[in-house]
Amino acid sequence: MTGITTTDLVKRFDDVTAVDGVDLNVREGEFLVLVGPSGCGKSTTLRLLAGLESPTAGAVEIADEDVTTASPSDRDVAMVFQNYALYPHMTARENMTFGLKTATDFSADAVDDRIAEAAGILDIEDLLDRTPSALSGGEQQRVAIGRALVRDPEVFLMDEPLSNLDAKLRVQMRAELAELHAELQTTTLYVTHDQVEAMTLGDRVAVMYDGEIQQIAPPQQLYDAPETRFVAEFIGSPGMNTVEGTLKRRGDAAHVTWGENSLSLPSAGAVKPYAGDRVVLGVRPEDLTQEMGGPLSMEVTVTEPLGDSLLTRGVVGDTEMEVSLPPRSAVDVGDVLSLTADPQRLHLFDIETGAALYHSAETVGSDAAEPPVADTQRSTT
Amino acid sequence: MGVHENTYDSTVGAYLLLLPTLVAIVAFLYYPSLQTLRFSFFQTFLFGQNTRFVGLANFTELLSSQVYLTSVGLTIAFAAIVVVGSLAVGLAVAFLLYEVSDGKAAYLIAAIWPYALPTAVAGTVLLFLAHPSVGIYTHYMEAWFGVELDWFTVGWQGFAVVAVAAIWKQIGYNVIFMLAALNNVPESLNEACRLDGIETWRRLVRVYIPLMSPTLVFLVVINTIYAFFGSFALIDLMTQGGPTNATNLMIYQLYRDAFQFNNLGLASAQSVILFVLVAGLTFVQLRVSDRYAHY
Repeated sequence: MTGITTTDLVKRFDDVTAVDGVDLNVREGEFLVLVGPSGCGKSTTLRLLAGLESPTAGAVEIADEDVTTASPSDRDVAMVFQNYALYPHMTARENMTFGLKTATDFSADAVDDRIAEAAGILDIEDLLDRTPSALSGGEQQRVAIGRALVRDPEVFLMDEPLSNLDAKLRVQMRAELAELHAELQTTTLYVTHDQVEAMTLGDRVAVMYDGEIQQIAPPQQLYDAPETRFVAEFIGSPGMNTVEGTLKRRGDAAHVTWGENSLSLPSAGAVKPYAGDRVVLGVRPEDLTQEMGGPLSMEVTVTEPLGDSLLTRGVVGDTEMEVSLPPRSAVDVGDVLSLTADPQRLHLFDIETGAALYHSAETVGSDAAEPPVADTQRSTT
Repeated sequence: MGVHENTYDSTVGAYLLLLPTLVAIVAFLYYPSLQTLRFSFFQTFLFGQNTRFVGLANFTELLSSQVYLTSVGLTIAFAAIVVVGSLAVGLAVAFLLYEVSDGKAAYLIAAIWPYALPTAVAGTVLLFLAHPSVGIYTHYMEAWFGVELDWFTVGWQGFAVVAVAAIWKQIGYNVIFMLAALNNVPESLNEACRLDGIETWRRLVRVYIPLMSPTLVFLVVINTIYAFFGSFALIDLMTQGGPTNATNLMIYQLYRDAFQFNNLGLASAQSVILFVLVAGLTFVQLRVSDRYAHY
């Protein structure tokens, strides 16, 4: 099987632990995205897989072969760098062929065929004789991807390949990368800090924080059933609102209160056990709506018209929250809004560990959320 | 039109600000240069107290003198050897320094300290280390390789010793610039090479040298100038142009004519020839490298 497996991978730089016990399994042909904020260890993880860094502890397997101590060139991986890493004095074609002889055992004819094929796929036939300085950022990145393609590796490793492109080009290249993967089906590990990129590209997405993997799941499941408070706040644009409150039960009914505000939870019996009586309630901005006499009251501090919605930030109790209102809603700064939340889209997290205690969608059976998949994993911070 | 173009009401203010620099340049650069050019058309006596206009006689005398023409040939050969040698050795040392990970600072200091040594001191030290009869280098060279070394009397040996000394003296300078250029190579290019398993030698020739080319062009020019002018102290201390004029480079011949034989006119003519030669070479080097260097 052509995949990547890491076992308890650890990387320390002096007294900083960049990667702290990562167990990752990228399946054959899968496009797995590793996403997280700056400094979470995602790039270091990728570099450990490429062999550009050596792990402090743990093992790396690529295609069922232990490559923990193998040199980068013996791992049959091709990497695409954030800054493209093209040789500035070589033409696009030379950039693609340089090192190909060392890295692979293609004949000269095969090399020409492969270049032509890759150039065709990436639509860069006309650019092959130009040097990088005569190419735009998007074209340079195509050449860099082409360089990886012609090597026909077991695994593609991509380190924020779209980060240096402007927003519009990034969206375009994102779609092209998805198409490319659908066509080639090469196992790919893709690192990004952009959760939109992660959600749109990944067959599965691994969310990383502070050197540890928080959750690995298909994009929709990450959104619907985040396993930690961090994942809830990180995934989504904007992320989930989280508010510390008190959970009060009365029989099977329960509600979370903070200040004057209160939300009732359906099927509170499904809440996992936790210590103390304080919990973190999570609700996404798009699951809040305006309703006369609703249980929450928000004093508006900022409005951001996004065109398709009006993102409104305000204070509920003493906690900042965001709500996504219909476009052109008549809302001004200083207004007090009455809000209610979709009862099927509520989440609870442990206030100490951040672990998910409850997703209301799973208890009442919703068409939006799928049941949890067995191979997700969690490590709490 | 930029705002800054209207900072001064007239150009007078601007020239006034430039005046101190202009005065210094004219007094210490252009005036002496023009004086040298003027002197080259005169025969001088008594340290230039008495002069007589002789037209191009100094130049014709030089260009028909076998000693001088030999000196020109020697100088060009010397410059070629020193430039190639100091660049090649410097590159090798800089590359090794770039690749090594432990004790980098210690190696760097070891590589560049000869440059920090004054040429006069270096020449004196080398004279004794390589002395034909008491030098420790000479002793072991003779013991290990069974050669007879006497560079005080054998012409080519004297030439070789001075050339090696000149190369050795210049390595540190080259290493500093080359190492700076190597450190400017983006780390991701090194990583791309590692992923492809590019061999060390190929990495140097195909990746590093092209990327260093602007620095290398600069060093070729600086080393050429050094080889023509900077070797004077070494020759004066170690061989005084000997043996049998084998190290009588143009700059040394010029010095002798000017200060030993007090023939300032002839020496000025040699200055002009030397200047034209080096300026021409530098011009050619810059033109040629424009085509190959990647800026």
